[in-house]
Amino acid sequence: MRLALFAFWILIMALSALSARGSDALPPSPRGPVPKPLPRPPSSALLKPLPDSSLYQLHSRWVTDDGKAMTLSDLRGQVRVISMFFTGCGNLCPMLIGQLQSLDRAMPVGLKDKVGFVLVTLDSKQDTSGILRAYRKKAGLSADHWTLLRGSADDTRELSALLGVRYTPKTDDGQMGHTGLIAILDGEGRKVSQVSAITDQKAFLAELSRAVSSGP
Amino acid sequence: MNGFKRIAMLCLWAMATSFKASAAFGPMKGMALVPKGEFTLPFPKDTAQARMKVEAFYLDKHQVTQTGFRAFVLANPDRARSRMKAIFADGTYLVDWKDDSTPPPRTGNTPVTHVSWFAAKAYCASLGKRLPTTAEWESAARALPPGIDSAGMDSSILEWYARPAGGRMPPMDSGSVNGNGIRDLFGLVWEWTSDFDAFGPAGSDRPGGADAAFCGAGGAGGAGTAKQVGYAANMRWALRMSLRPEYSTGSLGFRCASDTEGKGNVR
Repeated sequence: MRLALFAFWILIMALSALSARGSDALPPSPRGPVPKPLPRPPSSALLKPLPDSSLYQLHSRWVTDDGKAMTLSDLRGQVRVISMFFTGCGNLCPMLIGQLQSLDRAMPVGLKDKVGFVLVTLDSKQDTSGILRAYRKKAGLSADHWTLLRGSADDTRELSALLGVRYTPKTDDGQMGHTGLIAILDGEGRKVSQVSAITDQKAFLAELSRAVSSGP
Repeated sequence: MNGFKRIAMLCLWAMATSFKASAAFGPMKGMALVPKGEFTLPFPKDTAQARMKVEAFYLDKHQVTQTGFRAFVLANPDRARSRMKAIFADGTYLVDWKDDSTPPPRTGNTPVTHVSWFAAKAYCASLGKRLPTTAEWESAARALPPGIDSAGMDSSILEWYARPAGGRMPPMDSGSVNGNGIRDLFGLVWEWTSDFDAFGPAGSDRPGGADAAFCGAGGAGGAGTAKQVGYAANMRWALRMSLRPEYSTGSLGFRCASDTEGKGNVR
């Protein structure tokens, strides 16, 4: 008897829940789970809020080639030269990274200490931390001056959209077309300059000096 | 006692049925499986180099509605119109809303538009989903509604493309259901894809606002092929090329995808 009453009560509750849903004036959308608050970058009371045009407002999480997790806002406080590449890239990336290394060598000491290089892989599936670590070693990119990053496919696409890098999906033969871009971000993550390749190193160095001296 | 037992069993059966019915409104019921396939990129012309596999995935059966987007904004107040950062959306972001949390009257069930790519991506992420890739979207759209051949489908799509924008947005489900069980892929609004910008020109500064981009799409669409079949797809490629991720135009909405039916997967 008790079981029957209990089951009947449950039935009434279930049916009333369903009919409430049916009579809701709002359409049954969103279908399924309710949108959740997205993670936000850690904010510190000691730091000023980021400027509206800062790329460091991206909420995404990244992993360095030595497996350290970070957000782009961790790059704050130093001028950065940023480019996107992938280790399997045959022509354009080696050329761009060669130009960045040449720039690194040409920087006067006073400037060198205030500028960091950031390379973000476009091929997050293939370029694991281990592969990026091997690439760093092979290319001779110093640990203190170069940051190599890998993110999710979607977050990589988001960063590329903000930077202005376009790249095709990888085709079955492993090809991935992409545009070249080297950008200067100021200490607050604002893009202050960009080129598709460094054709005039002197002019680029001058841009860097300007970004450093104007400060955050 | 036997009678009571019978009633109890009946009630338990009814409960099970009602739970099954409620599952019809449940988490991923609104998604359809798109079987795996192969996709050929329209560029480069040498198709041997442009083939790619598209793994099976799930796509929302419906576009995201105004009501759905409102729930997202309420959960993420930094995506409200007054607080959205300029790098993530242009000045037309949710421009048709009365305020930060009020969509236009009687539009709850219509697709949300005036949303930038960044906002669309964030919406999907907030549900543990993602935007479909262009290859996925096109694969999903290839499954024709029953009884319609590709030429017939193309002409009805082109007829929609040719219709001038404006007027009242039809509610979701106004369009046809395609062979994958997905609604309104054509007929209501264009849709964002995760890699919409993959094939555009290298230059990042193009003159003209969003409306100019849409005009440009029509003209550029004609350059692809003389055949009518495939012409509509080429127009979509041309449109995507003309977009920028911060554009928040009134003709562009979105739906989300997932690698798994159950939990979603942000790639």
